[in-house]
Amino acid sequence: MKSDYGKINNDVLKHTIIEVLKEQDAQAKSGGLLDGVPFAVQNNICIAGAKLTCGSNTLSNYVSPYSATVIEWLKSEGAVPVCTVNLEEFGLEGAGSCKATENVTKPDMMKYYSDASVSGAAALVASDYVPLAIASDAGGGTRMSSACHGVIGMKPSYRAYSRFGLTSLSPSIEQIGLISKDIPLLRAAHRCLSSKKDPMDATHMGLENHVLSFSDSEGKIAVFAGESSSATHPMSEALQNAECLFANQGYLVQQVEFPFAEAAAAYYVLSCAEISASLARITPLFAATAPNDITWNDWYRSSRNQLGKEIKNRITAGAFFLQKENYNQYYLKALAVKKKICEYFRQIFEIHRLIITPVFPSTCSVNTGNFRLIKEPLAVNEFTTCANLAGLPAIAIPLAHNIPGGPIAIQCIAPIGKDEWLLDAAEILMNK
Amino acid sequence: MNDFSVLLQQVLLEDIHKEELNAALNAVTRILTDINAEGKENPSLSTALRPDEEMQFVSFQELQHSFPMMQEKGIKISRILPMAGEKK
Repeated sequence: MKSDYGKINNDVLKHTIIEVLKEQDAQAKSGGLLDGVPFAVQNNICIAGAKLTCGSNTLSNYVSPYSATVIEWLKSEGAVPVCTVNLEEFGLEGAGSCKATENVTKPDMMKYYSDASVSGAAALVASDYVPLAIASDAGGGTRMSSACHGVIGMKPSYRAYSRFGLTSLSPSIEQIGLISKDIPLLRAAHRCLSSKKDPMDATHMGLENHVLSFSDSEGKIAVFAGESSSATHPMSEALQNAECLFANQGYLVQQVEFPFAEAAAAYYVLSCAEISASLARITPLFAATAPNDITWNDWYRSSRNQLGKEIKNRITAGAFFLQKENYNQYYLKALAVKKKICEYFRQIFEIHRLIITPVFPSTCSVNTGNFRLIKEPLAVNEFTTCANLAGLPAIAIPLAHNIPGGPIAIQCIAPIGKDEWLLDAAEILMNK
Repeated sequence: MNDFSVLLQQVLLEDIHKEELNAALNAVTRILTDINAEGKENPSLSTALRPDEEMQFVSFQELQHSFPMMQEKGIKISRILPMAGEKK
């Protein structure tokens, strides 16, 4: 049922697929974990017979020939995919300012951007159109968009969910994530997607044993200590609130420094390099739609001109990082930093059970009606990229809703495989 | 410049957010360069990434050398491409 949350931007529901889903609805299994739960699907995840635009004009007429494993598994538990939703072109992190289609603004506060790539899915869940959405998380999109809309956004451990059927441009760091307001629903969907192994995805391992509840035993919590912890900043207030709530539960909270800036730099290099390489795989799809009588140069020009500016930026940067003369200085060094960040987090989790950080360095951006130029691109998602680089599960938990600039959320990061600790932590913080 | 280079310039390089791209490249270069430099700003990572520590990467030559061993173990290799920037 729709709430009176506000007028929703029609572009969020850019690609509603009714006919295909009517049949799927009729075939949905009853009596499953998610019986009758409608869910939205970000439009870079395949549904057989539905358009798969990835938010890009280049794929505006492409129809997916098969369904992603996550779609099939959710349906096998009775969930019903009801619509696909808009995203930043190819799910690149951004401000919801999708050049290829249209901007997605926050449904309740149209003057603000939906500050990340997963803008459509988070906006739809926030507006109570659907209780659950699945979307990709390459650098924090699921968590950032959820934080911006005051809902819960979860990225699982790398390899926890199958990525077969996800149009992933950064395969080594991208995962499918979940968005909802309801923790038990998230837990059910998480168990549905992580309890089996998918033979179609070589990287998929699943989570064989669901761990004991986070709240069953005591432990230490690491809290980000850095510049964003200034006393007057709403983010630091949210962090302090979270610290108090965990302390009240008997957890020892310690401030720890994290290499977020280095992680953001390494992430940018690796993601651009992978995007540059991955888009080459999609080129045959462009070619499939080319007219027969067009010259090669004209076809190249027309197909590439349909790409948005942000993705051109990433291709250019990726090609730069992978050039022979830059390869050691950028790409190999970024891989070395990634390796060290994984080791750094492993050491942190020998002592601490959870890490708490901000999601954003600031609150949402004001919608100027134009494509938002990010002056400090590495700072936008500096708190979220660490989890992607290290393959760690992470969640954005909304803590305050009525603040100018939008809701305030914090991010919790857990050790690999302890995904359900994040949901336990969300219960502690949201049921305060 | 050949025709393709001109085409590439026109469709890709002339239509990007140059300011944003430059800012990102400058930030990446500064951060990655600082990691191994003296007087690092972030002790958490820079102590972990010591200047004297030698990073180990599998080279294309090493991969080639390992082919017979892998094939003995029954691992089939159809072909492998050199990594970008690596000499055959």
